[in-house]
Amino acid sequence: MYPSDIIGKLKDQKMIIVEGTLYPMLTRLKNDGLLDYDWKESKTGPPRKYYKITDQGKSIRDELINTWQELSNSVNSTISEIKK
Amino acid sequence: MKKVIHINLGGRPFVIDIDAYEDLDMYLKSIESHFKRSEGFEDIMYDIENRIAELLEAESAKNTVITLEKVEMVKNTMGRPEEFGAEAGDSDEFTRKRPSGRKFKTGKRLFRDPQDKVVAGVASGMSAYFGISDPIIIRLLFVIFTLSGGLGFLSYIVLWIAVPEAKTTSDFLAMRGEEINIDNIARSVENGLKDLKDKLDDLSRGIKTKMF
Repeated sequence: MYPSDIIGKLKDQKMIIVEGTLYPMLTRLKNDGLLDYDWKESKTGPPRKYYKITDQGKSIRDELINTWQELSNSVNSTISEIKK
Repeated sequence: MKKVIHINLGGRPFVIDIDAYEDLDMYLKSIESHFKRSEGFEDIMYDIENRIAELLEAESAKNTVITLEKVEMVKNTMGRPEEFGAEAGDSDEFTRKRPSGRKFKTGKRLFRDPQDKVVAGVASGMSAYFGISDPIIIRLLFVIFTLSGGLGFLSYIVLWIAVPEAKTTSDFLAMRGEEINIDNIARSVENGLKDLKDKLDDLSRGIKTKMF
């Protein structure tokens, strides 16, 4: 995905207000091997970075999703216990 | 009427009012100094400049000039450097400049540990700093010094005031002398979530036994 698309999606999900936080994070993730990018030519200007997730990135992402789901299940079951 | 200058921003040509140029220049320089010590500094600056150029292009029709207003819009959209967050774990994260201008590595930093406190987390912070596994030793020392002359009590109060409380994940990592990189942060977050999950399990179990 292009960084501008990433920003668009985050904004749609209401998860980003300030764009500048994204770029150092993308660079850090790339330097840690979780993301990678290609250069894609553009007719309307200089070439743009196109980011992809790496396999290592995918496994970390899956772990994080698991952790989040366990947490959210715990919270939800506690809430439903309280409501009884 | 204003003077304008021509600039190359992110590989694209722009015509910009001189006052807008100076404002933008200052903004870019402040971002630069924020990230100067980070890994991937050039990448970050390239991306940010590129994004600013994209925003300005989208904002303006073909033959218009970049005004101060447009630069303000860019600054609001991109954010201020202070909002960009802590930089990645260079070992530079742990260096401090002495007045003489030479850098030295501090490695660990002394914090109070709010997650393991009896009173104010002074003893656990100190144990983390000195690498002692159980804060009870430091706590006993404080108590002994307090009982024999009151010095312990006074030093505790001084430390309570002078030593900052660990708040962010990087604080906790620095408290234990661990490098601040994405692995450690991910691990810290995971451990935190596991702790939270355990506490919630305990809580829900407690509620269940009380209800039935």
